[in-house]
Amino acid sequence: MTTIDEQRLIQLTRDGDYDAFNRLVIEHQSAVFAVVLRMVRNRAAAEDITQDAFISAFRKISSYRGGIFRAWLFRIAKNAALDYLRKINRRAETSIDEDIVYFSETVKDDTQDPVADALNSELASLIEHCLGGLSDDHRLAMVMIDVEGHQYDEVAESIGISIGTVKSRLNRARARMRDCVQQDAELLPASLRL
Amino acid sequence: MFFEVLNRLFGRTDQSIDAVNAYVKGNASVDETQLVEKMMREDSSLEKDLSTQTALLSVLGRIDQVEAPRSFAISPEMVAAAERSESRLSGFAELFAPQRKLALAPAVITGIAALSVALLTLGDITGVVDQSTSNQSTSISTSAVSESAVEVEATERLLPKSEEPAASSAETELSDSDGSMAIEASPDLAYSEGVLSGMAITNDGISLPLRQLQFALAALALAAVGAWAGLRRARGE
Repeated sequence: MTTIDEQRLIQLTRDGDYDAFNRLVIEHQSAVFAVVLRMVRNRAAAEDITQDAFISAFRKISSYRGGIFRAWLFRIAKNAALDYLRKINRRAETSIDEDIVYFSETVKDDTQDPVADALNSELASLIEHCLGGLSDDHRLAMVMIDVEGHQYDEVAESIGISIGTVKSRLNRARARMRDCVQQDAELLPASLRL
Repeated sequence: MFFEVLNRLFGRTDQSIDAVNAYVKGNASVDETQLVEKMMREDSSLEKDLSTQTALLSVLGRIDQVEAPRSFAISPEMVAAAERSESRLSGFAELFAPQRKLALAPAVITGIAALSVALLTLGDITGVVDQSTSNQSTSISTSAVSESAVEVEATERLLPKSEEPAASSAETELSDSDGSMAIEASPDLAYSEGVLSGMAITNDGISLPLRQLQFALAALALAAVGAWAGLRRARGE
């Protein structure tokens, strides 16, 4: 979808056109759901939060004042996700809830080696644990840039901070992740262990 | 440290942070690579740290992209339901949500009120501001005089005619003692004068209803804090 198309749809949405807004929803729903899911790590909650975020975005479309539209959506979704996390007051806990999403379930593995599979799975679980130990701000920066691959300017606009602050948070998040993972260094790939 | 603070203040990153971020991502420029290599020469543990970070990012990069499990398209019924579920209070509370411009209003009101109380207290201590008591002293002395007048009347009525009022007794005694007609002021009048002189206040500072102002501003600050807490609760935070 080009920027011009997007702006046209946004203008139609301001006039109350549900179909125009839903085309925007289809374009951005995977990206928004992914960020929310990585933040709250609960599939059912992520679906509810994402749905509420889009409803809220439609109602508040008049407050969109230009810039990256997806970043504006991320901002609404991020606030909703943080509200959810504050309400349930949980960060790195494990749960028997079957809706909990673990990174280990979604790590691609190109090899057919079961040993490598097991190591990857353990490493992913370790990363999961370490990510959960980060503050919400640091985890959000790392998830959006290193996991979901968004650009610095989009993340900065989503969170409402400067690009410099995004880079600083990312740097600190990576350092903390590194320190956490190094406690179980044997799980790292041999070629990268020193 | 000073430049780090300045950079954060102005939203700029340290060059080294940019270089490290790009290096671990594998897309560092020649200059950035040289800077990182120089840092590694100066800090022997940095190479290991950066290698671990690179390994981490390689795993994170292999995480599958998440697809939306269903359509999140909205309908008029959904929007109407969302509007109905929001109470008037939560709608009002939303005006003060963290991302809104009014978010800082309760904090600003509390700050101004608290600062005003502090300044008034400081002024009271240093004498720049005085408690306004001129109306009070006038009313107190007036009431004291009227009270004393009432007492004199009551005394005169109660005493039998054969007995002379205290003032007259005092006068009589004096005249008896030295034959002069010196009249001594009655004790009740003396009391009134004492009240008046006791309430005389020199007023060098700005006269304000100090205690009342301090109390009102403190109450305003507490009310602002209470309102802020209540609005957070209404928003479900």
